[in-house]
Amino acid sequence: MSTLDTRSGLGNDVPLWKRYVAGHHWRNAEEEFDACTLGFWLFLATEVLLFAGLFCAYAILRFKYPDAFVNGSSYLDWRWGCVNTGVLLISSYTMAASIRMFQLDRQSTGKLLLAITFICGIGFLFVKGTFEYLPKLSGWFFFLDPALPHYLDFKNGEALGGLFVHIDGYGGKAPGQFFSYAFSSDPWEPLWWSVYYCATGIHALHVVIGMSLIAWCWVRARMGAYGPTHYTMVENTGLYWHLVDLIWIFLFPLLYLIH
Amino acid sequence: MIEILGKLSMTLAPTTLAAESQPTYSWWFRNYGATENATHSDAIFMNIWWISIGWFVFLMALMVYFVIRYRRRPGVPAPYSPSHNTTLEIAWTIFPCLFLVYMFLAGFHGYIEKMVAPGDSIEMNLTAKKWDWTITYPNGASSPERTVVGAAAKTQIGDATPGARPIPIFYVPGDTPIKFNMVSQDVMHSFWVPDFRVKMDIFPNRYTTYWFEAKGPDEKSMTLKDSTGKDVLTAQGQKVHYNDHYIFCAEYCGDQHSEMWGIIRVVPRAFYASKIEEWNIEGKTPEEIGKLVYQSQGCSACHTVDGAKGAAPTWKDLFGNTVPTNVGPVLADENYIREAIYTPAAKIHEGYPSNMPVFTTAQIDERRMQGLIAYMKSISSKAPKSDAAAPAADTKDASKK
Amino acid sequence: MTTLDSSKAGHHGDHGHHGGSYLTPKGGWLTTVIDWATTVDHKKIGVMYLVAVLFMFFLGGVAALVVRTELMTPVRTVEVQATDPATGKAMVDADGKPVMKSEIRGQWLGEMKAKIDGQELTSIDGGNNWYNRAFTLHGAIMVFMVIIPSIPASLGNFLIPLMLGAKDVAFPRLNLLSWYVYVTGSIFAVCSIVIGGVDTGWTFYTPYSTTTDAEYANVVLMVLGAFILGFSSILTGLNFVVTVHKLRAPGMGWFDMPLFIWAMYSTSIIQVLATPVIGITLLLLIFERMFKIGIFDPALGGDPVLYQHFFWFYSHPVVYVMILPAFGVISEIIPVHGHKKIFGYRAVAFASLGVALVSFLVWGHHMFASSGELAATVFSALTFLVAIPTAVKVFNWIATLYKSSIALTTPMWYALMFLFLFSIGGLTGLPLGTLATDLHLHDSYYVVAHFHYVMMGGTIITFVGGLHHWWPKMFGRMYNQFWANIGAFTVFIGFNVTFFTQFFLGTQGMPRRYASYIDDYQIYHQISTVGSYLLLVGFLIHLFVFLHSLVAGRKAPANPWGGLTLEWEATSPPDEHNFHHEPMVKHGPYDFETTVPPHWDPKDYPLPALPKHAH
Ligand code: HEA
Ligand code: HEA
Ligand code: HEC
Ligand code: CUA
Ligand SMILES: [Cu+2]
Repeated sequence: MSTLDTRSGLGNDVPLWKRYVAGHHWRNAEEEFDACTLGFWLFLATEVLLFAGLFCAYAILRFKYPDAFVNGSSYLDWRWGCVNTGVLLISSYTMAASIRMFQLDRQSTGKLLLAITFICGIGFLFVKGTFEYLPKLSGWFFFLDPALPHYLDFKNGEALGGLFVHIDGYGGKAPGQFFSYAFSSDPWEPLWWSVYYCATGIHALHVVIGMSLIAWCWVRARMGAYGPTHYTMVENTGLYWHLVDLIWIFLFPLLYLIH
Repeated sequence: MIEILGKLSMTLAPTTLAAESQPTYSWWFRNYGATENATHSDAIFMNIWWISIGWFVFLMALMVYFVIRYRRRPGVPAPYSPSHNTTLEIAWTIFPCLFLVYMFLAGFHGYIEKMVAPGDSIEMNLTAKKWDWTITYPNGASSPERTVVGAAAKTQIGDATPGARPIPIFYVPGDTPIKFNMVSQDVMHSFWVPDFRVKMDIFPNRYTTYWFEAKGPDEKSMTLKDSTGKDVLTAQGQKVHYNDHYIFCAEYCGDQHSEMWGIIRVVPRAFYASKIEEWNIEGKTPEEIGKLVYQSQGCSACHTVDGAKGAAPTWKDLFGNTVPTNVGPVLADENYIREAIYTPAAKIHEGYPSNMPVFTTAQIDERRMQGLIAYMKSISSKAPKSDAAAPAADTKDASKK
Repeated sequence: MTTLDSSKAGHHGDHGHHGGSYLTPKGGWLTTVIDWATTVDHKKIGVMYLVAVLFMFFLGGVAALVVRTELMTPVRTVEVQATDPATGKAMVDADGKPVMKSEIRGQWLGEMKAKIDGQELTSIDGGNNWYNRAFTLHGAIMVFMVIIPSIPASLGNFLIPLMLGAKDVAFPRLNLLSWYVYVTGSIFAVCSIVIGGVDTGWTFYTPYSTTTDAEYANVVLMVLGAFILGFSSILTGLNFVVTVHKLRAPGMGWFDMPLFIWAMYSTSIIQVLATPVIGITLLLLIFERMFKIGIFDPALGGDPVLYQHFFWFYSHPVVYVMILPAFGVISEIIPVHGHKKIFGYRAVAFASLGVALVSFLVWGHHMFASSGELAATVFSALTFLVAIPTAVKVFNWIATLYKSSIALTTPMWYALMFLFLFSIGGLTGLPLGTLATDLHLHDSYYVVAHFHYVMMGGTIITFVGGLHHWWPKMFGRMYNQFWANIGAFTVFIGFNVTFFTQFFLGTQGMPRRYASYIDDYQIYHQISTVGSYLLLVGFLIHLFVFLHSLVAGRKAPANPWGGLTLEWEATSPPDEHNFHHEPMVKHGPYDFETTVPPHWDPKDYPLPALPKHAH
């Protein structure tokens, strides 16, 4: 773990990462690093198991109501899913690269890559929020939404000076009991939306957590905390971000592609 | 796979290892069990019990002996003994397995017996709801009989404190396999008759089954009495013997989970047949049907018919009256009654809680609904006396005052 | 605790050149409080857990006594007067006599019906409601807030680094965080009680838990509490796994670790792997309750059995989270107080791992009455499998007693009590794993008796026993063994009186979670209730013995029982950084035949006469 530690006795002119001293109960910094990584892998295992529960629910409910799931899934646009998959894959790459940069002490590239990763995260959430959640829940479309032209005949309102357009009868695909989509053709479709929102929602929460970690890394990196001999935090943040990516790689086909 | 295992277990499982001796049973069980399966299952239990006792006594005896023999005495070193012995350790890993294999097979055997109903069982439907049971017999009748355990009926199966709520009594024929198809109307319940040694969970979204073949009543069984204490006689003038068995709900289901009881009353087949004929709605007037429904669907638990106050509005003088509801006064006509039963939440009688259960058309079909209405009319001074089955349209106009 | 004088205890091993024990106050009381609240020292965190867990145990115990008191009579024992919702005043009938809740309970009580007139009755407002809350509270507290953190988080935190010869756990700050998370979770759960309680049972089965009339917020709060406690449990487990992997003293191989460490290691693995599943389950349950998403609600197409599978996938392994640490403690107490090497070290170690592994495969045995035939059969078979490693351990402990030198100290009494009680608990689990008999015994008092024998007779008894074993190490004080033994025997007798009767209740047909029952059962219930009060007396004796020890106890030597594991090489209480020098491991944890325990005078410590060709 990264601590601001002055026990090394080195002066302020030396970069922070060189001044890093392992916790008092460790014999040396390598052992501490190994331990942190092991701990983090275990933590990732718990995350995988957390999502395993969701996947299980998905499998069982899909088995019970295949039609509802096919029907529900047909409202998802695989192209948005693709865009987001791409965004996450790129960000996974920049994240990995940024760790490498810190290991090579190329501070500014490292920081830049961290920033790009963060921006990718924002992009992911933006696409999810504006093009996926919002129209499905409320019927409000972003004016740039490529799906919008199909529905313009049913337009019945605008907001924020035309930035958002309301389409009559499109919203209401909320989970469970709150489902009120007039044109649904399957009685169990609400369940599909429950699974969809729970899975993507909890995943989005993980994206947010990952982004916070990245932001924190970036702040610390600006202080010079990471370098060839000490980069535990970026490394683990990277692992976390890959996990977030990996889970999406599973969610994407399950939700968007399988019919 | 299951079949093979089942066959295997039949041959391997000695089920009478333990003597079915009375004293042991009275410690563990209240009786010998009311079905063959129950007796069998008790034998399995007793076998496991004796095996466990054997192991337990053996291990504890060793422990106590060692503690006494090797207690520490000042200055005396512990006698040396090796701390590892592969043969011994392998032996005591494998040896207990034999017992465990027996338990598994015996249990599996008994399980299949308890789960798979014979093909010639009489099928009945059982619905559970908070906190009541209903059984529908093959002819569509259901039992209107209830008893307050302890006070109204002394049963041979043990008392409960007088004043507890009335619980339903279900008549079933003795020495006949019976199979319930069970479903719940709200949360999960579990149907348990301890005397049969089986319980099965009941779900709101799927059917589960329960079967038993209760040993028929014999001369030693209780004789049935009516409310005045006189013996009930069959058409042939014989006394009717019966055995009662408690039903308990065994899956936690809320406030009165612990009072969700019932009684299975095992009677001779002929008497059972006459009973369900008595409750059959075929060939009865609407009014009689309504009264039966009132008793058998549990309406009587909340609604009174004599004007007394209750948990729910009384039905006395209800029909044709103007009822104060949360959406304003409403005339209690056929449509109102119908709505109050199928969708009770639509209008709530002022001053009463909104806990009237929802009934479906499956439980109260059109005939029973008309019966109920006819019955309500018959006990209301406000209802038009002339024709019992007055079409709804007539009263419609009257309601627009 | 801050009043403790922790100057060097009078023992040989202390070189006296360090800043004093970890208990030494750092200054005024405020400084001390802040020091404890922000400490990352595993020993202090262990003590903080201990205090929190004992407090929760007390709360859970009080709830248990409420439950038992109610069950004295077949109807209401403790009556609650009803309030008139119209006036908000206590209800009285026409004669001015108070009207009790049980009387208006009644959609059912003919003659009482008059009183219900105008009364807003919801299904939750009947007479059993508070009983249902009491046992839910009891079960939830005992499971999530007492037994799961009991041995691991308190004794484990304190001992693992000491036994490994380390200065601290791998992630000290994470450790402190776990404690705060634990306290937060407990506060959530306790809050839900303060604002009215939850009546779902500790299993939160849907659809009851998502539809009960208990105020919406309560269920969410309680479930959220359990969810948060799960995090605490994961973090602790994770910390321990890494500690065991990375912080063993030089020279300590895997098979030189004390068996307590093995047990804690297996426990931690279960905690890390099983808890996330309950996490997502509880989260979905909260969503279900708040947003009616329908995954578990049959009315919306969901599946209540799915919930049960999820729940038990966690909650079965978790019963081994409860018992494995106890196994670990027993594996320490018996060799140390018998001065003999544990019999079959490797078998005991591997049995821990074996139990941990198999425990993931048997969850379905809680659902024999609700799952399909094939599933039930497979789960029954696997359930018996899990009994084998456990049986092996019992045999090993008893074999360890053979030709040992048994000192009947309080911890040893507890270990013997454990063998007795746990064997009963485990053996009575067998008819539950047997399909045919479980259909009768499921959800009856037989199950209640079974799990109290394993949880209370197994784990809590061992927890208290372990506390007596390590008390001198933790607080540097001895306690009055005579009174401690009296307390132990009282607990033992009280326990058996309370719970053995419940086996009979169960086989005779008494369902669990019942506030009222038929009269025939009353005598058993009364015996059981009397026993539970005896239990209270027993635990109060222990409480006083401990308090007395803290203020007036004799100073403890570094190694009062003559143990060989590393914690006995530290001072009592250990100083801030545990050891003066990093310990080197020169002998096995149980090599009593060849090694004189640290700080013991070889003159007074007789080594067993080794046979000539001993290894
Ligand atoms: C500390 C916790 C703990 C432990 C260790 C155990 C151990 C075991 N449990 Fe228990 N159990 C619970 C806690 C625990 N249980 C709880 C809390 C519940 C109820 C939850 C609820 O519904 O609220 C429960 C419920 C429960 C059920 C479900 C009952 C029902 O609801 O229908 C079953 C069924 O199989 C079961 C079986 C077992 C078995 C086979 C073991 C085995 O591991 C036991 C192994 C031990 C021995 C066998 C004894 C020692 C060995 C010997 C003395 C040597 C001789 C042995 C042989 C020859 C075999 N348990
Ligand atoms: C660790 C687990 C644990 C422990 C220790 C206990 C302890 C006790 N339990 Fe248990 N119980 C459960 C876990 C536990 N229980 C669970 C999971 C359920 C199921 C709930 C459900 O159905 O949802 C249950 C249910 C349950 C029931 C069934 C309720 C029902 O189904 O209707 C009963 C009834 O008798 C009962 C009684 C008791 C009693 C009398 C004790 C006594 O042993 C308690 C004695 C303790 C005290 C009196 C406190 C004294 C403490 C101090 C004074 C503090 C100081 C202490 C020291 C210094 C050591 N419990
Ligand atoms: C759990 C108690 C309960 C049971 C059982 C019950 N009811 Fe009701 N019923 C009520 C309550 C409370 C009301 C008043 C609230 C309302 O109007 O919904 C009510 C209202 C009614 C009304 C409207 C009367 C009025 O004055 O508004 C009718 C008709 C009725 N019930 C019929 C039935 C029938 C038929 C059955 C059985 C098949 C039955 N009830 C079973 C509790 C119950
Ligand atoms: Cu129905 Cu419990
Ligand atoms: Cu289990």
